[in-house]
Amino acid sequence: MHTIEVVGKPLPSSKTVISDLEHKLMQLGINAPAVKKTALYTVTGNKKLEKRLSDVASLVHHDFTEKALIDKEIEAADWDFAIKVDKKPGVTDNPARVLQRSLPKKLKLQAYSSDVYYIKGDLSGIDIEQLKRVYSNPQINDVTILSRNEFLDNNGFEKKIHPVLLGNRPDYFWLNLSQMDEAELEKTGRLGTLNLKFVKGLTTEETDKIRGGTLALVNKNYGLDYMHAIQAYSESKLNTKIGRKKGKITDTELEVLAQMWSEHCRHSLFNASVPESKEGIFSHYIKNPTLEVLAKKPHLGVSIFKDNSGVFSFNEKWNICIKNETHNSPSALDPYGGAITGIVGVNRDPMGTGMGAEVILNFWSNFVGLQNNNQSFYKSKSSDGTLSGLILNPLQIQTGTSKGVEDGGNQMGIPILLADFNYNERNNGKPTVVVGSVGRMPKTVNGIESYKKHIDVGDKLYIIGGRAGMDGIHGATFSSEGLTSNSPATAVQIGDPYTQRKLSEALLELRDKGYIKFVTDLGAGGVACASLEMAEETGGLEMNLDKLLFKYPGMTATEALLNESQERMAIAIDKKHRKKIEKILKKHDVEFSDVGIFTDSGRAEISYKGDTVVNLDMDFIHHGFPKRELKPAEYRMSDAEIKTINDGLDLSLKKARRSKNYTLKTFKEMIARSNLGSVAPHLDRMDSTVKGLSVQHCIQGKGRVSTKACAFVPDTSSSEGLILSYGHAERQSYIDSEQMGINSFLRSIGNNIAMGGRLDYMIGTDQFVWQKSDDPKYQQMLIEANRGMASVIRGFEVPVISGKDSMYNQATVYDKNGNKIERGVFPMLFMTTIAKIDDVSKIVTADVKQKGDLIYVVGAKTKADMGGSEFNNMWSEKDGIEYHVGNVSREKSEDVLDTYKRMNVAQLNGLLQSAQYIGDGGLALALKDAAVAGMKGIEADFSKVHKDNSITNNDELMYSVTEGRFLVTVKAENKDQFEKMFKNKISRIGIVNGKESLTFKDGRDELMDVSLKEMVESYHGMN
Amino acid sequence: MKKELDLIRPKVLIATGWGFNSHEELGYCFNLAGADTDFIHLSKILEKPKILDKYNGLGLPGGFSGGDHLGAGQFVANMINQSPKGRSKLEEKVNDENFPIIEVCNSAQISSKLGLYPVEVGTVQNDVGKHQTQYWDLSIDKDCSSVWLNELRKTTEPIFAPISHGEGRFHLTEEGLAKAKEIGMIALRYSSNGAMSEYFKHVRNGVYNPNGSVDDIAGFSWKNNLALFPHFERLHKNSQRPDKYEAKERGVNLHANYEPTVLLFKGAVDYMKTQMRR
Repeated sequence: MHTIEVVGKPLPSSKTVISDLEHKLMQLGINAPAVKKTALYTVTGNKKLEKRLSDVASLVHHDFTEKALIDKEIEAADWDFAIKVDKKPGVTDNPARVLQRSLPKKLKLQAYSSDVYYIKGDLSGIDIEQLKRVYSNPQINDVTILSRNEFLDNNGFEKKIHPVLLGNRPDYFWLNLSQMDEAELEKTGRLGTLNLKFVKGLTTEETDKIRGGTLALVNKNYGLDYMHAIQAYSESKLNTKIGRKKGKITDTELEVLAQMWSEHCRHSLFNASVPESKEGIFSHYIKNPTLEVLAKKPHLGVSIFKDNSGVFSFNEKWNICIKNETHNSPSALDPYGGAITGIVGVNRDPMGTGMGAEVILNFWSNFVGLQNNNQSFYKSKSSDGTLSGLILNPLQIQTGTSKGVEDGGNQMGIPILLADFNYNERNNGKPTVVVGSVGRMPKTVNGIESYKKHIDVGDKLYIIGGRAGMDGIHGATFSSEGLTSNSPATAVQIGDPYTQRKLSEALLELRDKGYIKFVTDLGAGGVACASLEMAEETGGLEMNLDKLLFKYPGMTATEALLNESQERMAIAIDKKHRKKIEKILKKHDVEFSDVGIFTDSGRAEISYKGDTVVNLDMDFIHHGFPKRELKPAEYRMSDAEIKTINDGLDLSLKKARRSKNYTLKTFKEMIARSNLGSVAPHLDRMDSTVKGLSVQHCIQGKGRVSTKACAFVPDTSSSEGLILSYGHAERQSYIDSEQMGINSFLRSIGNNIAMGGRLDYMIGTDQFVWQKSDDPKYQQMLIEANRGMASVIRGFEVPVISGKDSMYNQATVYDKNGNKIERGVFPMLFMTTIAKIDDVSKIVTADVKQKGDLIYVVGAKTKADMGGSEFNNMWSEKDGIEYHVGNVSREKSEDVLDTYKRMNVAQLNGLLQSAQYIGDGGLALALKDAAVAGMKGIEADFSKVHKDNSITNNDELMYSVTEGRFLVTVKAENKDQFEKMFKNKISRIGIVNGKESLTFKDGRDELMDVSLKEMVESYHGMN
Repeated sequence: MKKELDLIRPKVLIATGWGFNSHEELGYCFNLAGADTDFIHLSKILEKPKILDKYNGLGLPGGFSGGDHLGAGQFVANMINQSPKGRSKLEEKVNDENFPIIEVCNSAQISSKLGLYPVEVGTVQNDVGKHQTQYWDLSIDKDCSSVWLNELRKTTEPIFAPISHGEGRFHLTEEGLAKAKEIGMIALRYSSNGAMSEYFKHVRNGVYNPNGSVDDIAGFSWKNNLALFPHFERLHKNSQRPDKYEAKERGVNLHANYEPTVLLFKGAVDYMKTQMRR
């Protein structure tokens, strides 16, 4: 075993900067540390390797600026502690893999890479567990910390490697469902399959521990229905006709059914019957309204609901597809891994649409806990009170997910122009990471419409891209002895965007040559889900798992079939093209396995090591699960409860309003709210220009203010562009979920319209993030949110062509005193909209442009709509009580529709110098953002804002979140034309005076005067 | 003569694959400047390096080749080193003044790892310790005689370009830097006064060099090879500029191409045309 450590040579630095590595330690309270990071490779091989270590070293360092220490430890110079971070067995080791790929022919070795951090600083009094988490994650890393003396005494770190060694387990085993009583069926569905060969001499508790891991086939709402259906199948002719005894199925078959029937694959909640419709929420509130709109506007949905992403027609040359999804639980465990696999994973949806699209844009939205909350929370408490499973704190999750999205997007070469950060205590330990991608595909490829895909009997199934490993496998047993130190880390997958980049280029070349008949991505459920969905096309599949490429040997049939190893796609090809296809894949350095053939046998037949491990009826796999029925219940608080909370908030507000300088103080607190802050610290590390298609980042103006829309083109040769935007109003859910659904969608559309997106050429995609979806109250909220969304689909003719749902974002955690805390996210409809703009050079940004420009509020009258506002959220945090009260905005759709239409006309006529949809921070924040973005002073008179008589104080005027309002500026010379266009739907409230400050007035009273300099510095944390 | 030149379309080879990701827009800019382009996977170029003789110039794009997992550009440098005829053909073309080459970002790093610059050049981690993006002002060195700069010098528009790199800091020893100046190989520097410094003056705190590169160097050029970090190829239309509003008010056509980018590529393509007429 040998080590090669790559150490940077000391270089002059043009300035002293505190690097990220040092920042992280400073957050722990370590004074002004200096940190140096090295890359350590541990390699093993035969005797010949010893003579060639310097050749290996030359592959991993640049001699001019780095030195490579071979089998030698670093000089213990001016540092105090060394932290070595190794990867647990099975964790993706990208540097090692690339090193092995770049070895010259005659050189063979196994490589493992580690990171070492040498720290100069005083670590006394620092919590070692917290220190270990600064540069590593216990889920995927083993960490060794040595003091300088220990390092010297031991001549550096102990050399070690950590290969995966899976214990000797049966490839598969039999279950007999006829012999299972109700209790055993329940246990199996809940805790997993049990191999009866290993239960001798074990207690019930011990047998529970060796079960295969939850199948999620048992549920409070549908009880044992799923298990009974499978039991009935196992006893039916469909199973016995292939020569089996009644009740006998393999563990692999049960696992496959569990995956295919999972909420993720089947969306049972959205397809369950509800009081208003037997077809369920999806058909009633998403599909049908969308199809109604598409009947009038077919170009807005050329392929919807059946493929991996929704496709619409952009122009005669291009179709555009879009997809969003979330990656929440993995991001809670390993923020970096969860986020990188999230963003790289969602890329595969456009890649797997039709014959394959090219991803051209990423987008991301994050919801994490309050950043200054360093309290420790734990996942479990044992019967004797011991706490375990320390949950990462919100700052670690925000930082980790951000780096994951950065690396995923940068290394794939996909730009990101839009992001959104949200901070709420409900997301402490339960982050929501929304990721999405936009793709483009030429209208036709070799004369065939590119969104079409089909498979014929006799076509071959290839799995291409990464290799299979234990990633994502549930369950604890990898050896009959239980977990050992060579057991692979499985709960989180770590991505390798480089592998996927090569894969994406290979797929596009294959597509353009006409070789792709059908492509889909591998995600949850691995090979099983992808191949079985493809098999629906012909009615059957024969597959041989031996042909799969594995990262390491020893996986069982279930593991081979269901692992979620990343960066893989499945393609169906005409076998006559095999050789040409394989040549192209090899050129792109993409691995592949020829695993199966599509049949019309009506069965899915899968073999492994000579045995048939799966032989299931296709129809049963896809349609055998019983339909659910939701029985929702009222969730709203009683009037009495609402009154109590309202009174409490009123009291707080009355008290605060008596204080000196209340208005100015409140304004300064509001503009410092992290929910209303800048995305620049994160997005500035993320490539936003690669591909040369970017036109406008969401960070706008000279003051670099973050907004909720961006613009890009799919084709450099044309000015036709696309505008992407978001909207969400989750803090309104407990007050009125239907209105929350409406308002979330209105915000998304409004943000798009502000930049110039065409209302008549706009589509939406939905992302539901819910909790406790088996609870009738939350089901009622879900139904209502969908009802709201459906009313906007119809009212505004914006179809929703794609969507995703994550329905169980709740957890029980324990604080450091052992108190139980129930956490769950705000039920949220996160809406993304994308719209065409005919001339992308005519987009409108939020920054004020010129001295003398007039300021208008356009659209709805401002009302006291404080429900769900950031203002109320601020008070919730101050008082430690969630204020789910206040009116939520209830604008009439016709009125908002009319405003949106007029805004489009104004933009087309070039009348808008700047525009913003007024969001969560209300009018005051919109004014501040406009001024700071343009770095030009403004004065605004709030008494001129058109409002109704629900407004009784300045807070309501400044911070209310009435929907359907825009803040715009207009050149003085266009005043008449503009005012004529909007008639009574506007109020002129001020002017861009070009001074150095923001002045708010109320008639003749001055409310406040704040310097732009102070505001831009506060916004960017420059002070 | 000009009409004849307009009809000639030089052919430029653009390498792809192994994690390069900015090849399409690189090709597009060569097209804008009057050249035709072919995209060929780098592994194929290394298999049959003589193919380079069929072209008038070469574009090596930016990207994350090898995922940058062994260090920026290290993987491709390894692969090139393992192909002796590939390496020697590449060196031959690098030394051939009549064959302009552009090496953007990741490719500038690969050249550093291969030691292809006339003096030893390192490309190391940005001094701020993180990946940097955004648009930065650039100035042209008055002593650099590269064909890439011929047309660019004539622009009336401010020169700036987007960057995207984590290891974009050029490092040279004192002697190396002196020699670089002596032979006139410094082509572009990050500049403290320009449209981007002005536009972003409220938020940049006077910072104009995004990565700590020695002598503010953003790009080198020698023997008509241009190795640079800024991605001009991504900024090809005026509608993409951060200062688009101000430009429009000045009378700049937002539908038109961003002049400095077109001129950068035109300088090299025009030169290729004159070489073809020989």
